[in-house]
Amino acid sequence: MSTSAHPAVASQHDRARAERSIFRPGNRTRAVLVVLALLATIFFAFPFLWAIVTSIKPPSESYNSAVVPWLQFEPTLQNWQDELTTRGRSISLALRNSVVAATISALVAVTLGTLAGYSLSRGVFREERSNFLFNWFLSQRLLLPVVVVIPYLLMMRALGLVDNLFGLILAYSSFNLPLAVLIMTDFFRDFPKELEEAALIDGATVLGAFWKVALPLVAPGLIATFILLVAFAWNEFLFALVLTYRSAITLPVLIVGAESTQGIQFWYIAVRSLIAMVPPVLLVLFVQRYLVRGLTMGAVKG
Amino acid sequence: MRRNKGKALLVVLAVLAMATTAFGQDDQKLKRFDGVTITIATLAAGPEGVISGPVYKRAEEWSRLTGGQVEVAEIPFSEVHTKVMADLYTGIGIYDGFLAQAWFYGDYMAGDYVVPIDDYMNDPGFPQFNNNAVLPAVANLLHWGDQQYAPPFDGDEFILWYRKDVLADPAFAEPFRAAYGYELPNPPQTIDQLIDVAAFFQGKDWSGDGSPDYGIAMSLKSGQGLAQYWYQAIAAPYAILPGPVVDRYHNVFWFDPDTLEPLINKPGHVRGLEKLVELATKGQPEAGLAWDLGQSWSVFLDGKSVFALNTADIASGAQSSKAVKGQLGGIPIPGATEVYNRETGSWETFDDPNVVGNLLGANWNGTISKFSDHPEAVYSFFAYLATQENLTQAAYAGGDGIDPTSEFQFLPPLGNANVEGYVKAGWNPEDARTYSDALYANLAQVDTYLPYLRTRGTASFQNALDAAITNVLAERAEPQEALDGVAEAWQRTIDSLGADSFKQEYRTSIGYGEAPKGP
Repeated sequence: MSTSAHPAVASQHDRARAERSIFRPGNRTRAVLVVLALLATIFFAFPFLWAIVTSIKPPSESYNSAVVPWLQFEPTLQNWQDELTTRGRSISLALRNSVVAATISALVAVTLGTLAGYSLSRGVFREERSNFLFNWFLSQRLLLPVVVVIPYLLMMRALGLVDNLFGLILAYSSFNLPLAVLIMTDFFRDFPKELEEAALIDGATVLGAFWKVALPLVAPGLIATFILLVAFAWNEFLFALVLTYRSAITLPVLIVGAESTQGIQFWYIAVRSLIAMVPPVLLVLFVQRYLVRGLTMGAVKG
Repeated sequence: MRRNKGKALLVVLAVLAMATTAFGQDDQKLKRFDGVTITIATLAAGPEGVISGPVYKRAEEWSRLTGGQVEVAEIPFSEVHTKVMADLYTGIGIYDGFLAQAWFYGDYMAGDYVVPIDDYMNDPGFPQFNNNAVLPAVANLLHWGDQQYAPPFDGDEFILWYRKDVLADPAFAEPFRAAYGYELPNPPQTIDQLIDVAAFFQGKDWSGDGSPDYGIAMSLKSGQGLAQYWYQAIAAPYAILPGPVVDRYHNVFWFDPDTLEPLINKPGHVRGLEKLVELATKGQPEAGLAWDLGQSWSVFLDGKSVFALNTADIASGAQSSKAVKGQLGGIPIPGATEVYNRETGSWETFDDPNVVGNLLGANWNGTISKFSDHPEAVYSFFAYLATQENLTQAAYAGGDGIDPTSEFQFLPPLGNANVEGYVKAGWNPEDARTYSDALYANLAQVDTYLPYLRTRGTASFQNALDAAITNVLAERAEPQEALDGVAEAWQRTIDSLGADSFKQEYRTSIGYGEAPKGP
């Protein structure tokens, strides 16, 4: 006699099947969520798919909607070969410049921003002055970059820093610093001062209390802020376009440069974009757990 | 005897000394720029790309000859004007020279930001180029008033390219005659004929590949600022009345040179827009309204359209096309048999179509920034690019984006280039002949020209026009209404620039009072 014929097992089976049925109210919701998640995945993954497919399509087929290689089009590595041979030096230069400018400017902004945020959150200044400074930093985020790009150009020219990586780092740091201040101020505010006060009572200096007590508490937030600032600097185009022209060009400028007198060369844009995606993706994979913790820090109080 | 031998030896030594000194002097003249580095702004296309490729290549050679160094500053195509003008407006002078599009010469020359080169051209110490061989249409573009500001380098133009094999195929003759009541023109001579032929082939599988093909490929995509060039090409034959002199009513397109009234909404211009809409809707698929420049190239070079109304560069692109290589036909943009006469307020009829030459396309030529510390070195480099030898090689190469400017670059009997040079560079010999003849005809065998808009604020005028054209193509506005709006926008721009000074620079740019020389 098979177990499935046993009444007890059969009814367990039926119950399990009923649990999984799509017509069960709870499962219907789950099904809808799964569909929505799939649609969202397709929506966000599509640019990557487009870039990959376009980079291996012959240029003449770049404008059609074929996406399946070998079935809908004959893939080729010619675009990659062209780019890596004729533009290899430019690409590696732009990649290096983007990595250096983004990481160093983010480090500078996060370092200074953390110190400023700590001061603002710990009442170093009187309350009204603290609020004023906080709001002043906030106002910098509302400033349109295009408004100040020419003054920046004039300043960099005066300093001899046009087409210079250090000049670009200065520009990015100055533009990202307000964001770092705002974020870190909020992170510090989420932790009670009493922990540092206890350390001070135990003989720690203010800097010691900051370094050994406050900073470790906000470490996930600090890393999340760093990654955010790297992302902003990585994608930045306007300042890179205006302040650089040869030695210090970055990947966004190089990608836009794939437009010639014969139109936009989407196949080369795809190749350059894929190369540009690699470092940020690697960075996020490496620090993703800190990113999640940092972004949700303070979400649950108490 | 010994005395004679001694004398002879002295003479020989003297001659040798003089020769050596002369050679040394030439060396000293050439090598004038040791320690000098110049920064040249040009298109971001890399060391082997269009426009910038020849710049890199010649930069190395020039460096060996003169001791100077060239830093090539590559700028993305759509950002060239922004970056160059940021440099000029602020006076920062990052760039010593610009190998940039002639569209913006109004800003450079009328704005007094670039240096005239007439004095340098007379100095034998610089590389010599054959300025007398430059075709008048191109020479005019390089001048502002009486002064020349750039050596010749690139002479791009809009041409009607077509598939010779398709138009000559007898299988289409009878159906066309039956549909339109006249012989299939091979090639079309008027805009109306072009519309008929494009419409005839549109949607038919004339290539035999099993899918519908197209009549014509144009780039009319909204927001790219290019649709207005196609409009200019189609409207010019209806709007530009030829005459012996550039005056108030003849050989003008943009503004009334006496009153500065924008002409863009006059009947000839409106007719031109109506014809563009007709050509786009009957000769292209609906999706063609979204074709950008690359796509319009791709459609023609993949053998999907009979016509391409496009830049001269497409001919070199055709040499890599299995469908088009060897079958390339090309003529100046067809004309119109009716031209609007603003003086009489009526349409004038022509027995021979009014064909208007153009230099549409970017036309990359080198100008010297007035903020450069080394204008002579910059001139030396641009003059080196323009030597007869270098320009000839540039025309042969094709894929470098450089099109002929001077007579010697064309094939006999028009010039003294040779077909072997083209063939060696990969051209089909018949296509090379087509290319040479079509470009020369457009530059030198027409009665009038579409004048380049070379004033301050050109970008502003172009943007307003482009937006209006795309509105009409998208059926959001009627042609007259849209162009009325453009006229108003242009008037506001003129007012902001200052009407008096604008009038002077507009008249200078079109050569007011002179015989029409070219764009």
